[in-house]
Amino acid sequence: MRKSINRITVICSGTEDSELLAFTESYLHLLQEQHCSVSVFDLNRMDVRSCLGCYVCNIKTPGVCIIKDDQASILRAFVNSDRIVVIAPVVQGFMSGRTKSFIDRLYPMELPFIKIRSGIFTHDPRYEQNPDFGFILHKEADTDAEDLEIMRDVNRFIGNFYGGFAFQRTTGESAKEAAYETARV
Amino acid sequence: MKLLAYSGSPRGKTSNTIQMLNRFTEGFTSIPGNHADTFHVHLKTRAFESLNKLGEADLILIAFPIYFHSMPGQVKAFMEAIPNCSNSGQTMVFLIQCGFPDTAQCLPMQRYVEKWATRKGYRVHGTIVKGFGPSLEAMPARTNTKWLHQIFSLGQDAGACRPFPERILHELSAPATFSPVLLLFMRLLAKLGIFDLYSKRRLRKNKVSVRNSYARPLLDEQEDTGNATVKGKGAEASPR
Repeated sequence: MRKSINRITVICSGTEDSELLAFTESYLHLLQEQHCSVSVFDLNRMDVRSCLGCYVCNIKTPGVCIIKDDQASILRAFVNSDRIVVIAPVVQGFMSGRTKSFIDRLYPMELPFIKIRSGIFTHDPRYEQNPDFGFILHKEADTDAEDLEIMRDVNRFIGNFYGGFAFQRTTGESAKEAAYETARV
Repeated sequence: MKLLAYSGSPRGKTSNTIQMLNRFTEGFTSIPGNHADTFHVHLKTRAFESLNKLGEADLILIAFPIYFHSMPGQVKAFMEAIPNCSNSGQTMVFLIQCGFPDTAQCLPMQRYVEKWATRKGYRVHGTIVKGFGPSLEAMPARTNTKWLHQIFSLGQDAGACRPFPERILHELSAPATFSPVLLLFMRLLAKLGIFDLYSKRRLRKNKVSVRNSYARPLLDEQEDTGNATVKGKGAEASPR
């Protein structure tokens, strides 16, 4: 079990939406007050391309992606983080394609061999220390409880693959509570 | 009937997804009068342009591999660009394939795509879920004949406006999970490294040793550069 959450990496996007931008700014500001070290990446201002599915990071240059873009700096932050918080706009009922492409590009952090964990087929993470994952979703007008449940199922899989699934919240709840939960074990 | 088929694998013509998709479209076009056009989502331009004539299609097939328990990012971005249904009666079929053999890992996505299509006003003909997709590249061809033919027959069913037989969908997606007894057996096989033979073969081909496949390049790099805090590009990062 993790002792403390000191190093937090926030991956945000959808900041062209003024409501989401306001939440993100307020959340980051409140997070500073929680005595954590915070690194922020805004996918909207970065060049993070989609995964090619080439397996080079798996079986040719283990741990190194063939695409040279800004994802490299996110991966460096990944190995230095206790927690990754993904702030994502919900688009048509699921995290945006832009956010999902960043998730896909975490593949260099996986090992090639098959493992059976908790009864399901999976891989092991490449690094010993892995951050856990929190998700903050910006709902659309028609986002309902079932959408959130589906996203929670997927996000739980993603988190548990690495250091664990910490939480899933929405920007409808207060930024203060989100910041407080982010800094808590 | 007209089918527009979209392959969501960034691996294009060498992908497992396109091989399954092709069997489906072959089945569909084996019915006289049917026609199918196939597009690769990762090649963007042609796929996105085809959305202008989406209204002419009777059936739309979206096929994709599972990356981190969901569709690849570029497939999601493409789905975001698909307009709402313009003429009622337009129908969608999904083909979701994953690398692992236990397809319960695909269930949240099946639930999602069906809800997404319904929300946009499309009817859902059905969702084909197939596990152990890499069987196409890792196993001898004869082990794949039967299930590929099943996908062909589902293409025929869709082409003749027949519902997908539940039995075939079930057989294709089996096993959803492994029973405790089977799981014990699978763990044994895993321990013996049976599931890793294909990865090991590919590592060997690339002259990478098993030991080096465990490389941790980012930790090595860290030793060189010190423990620098990484700042987000242009973002207001102010680490304490």
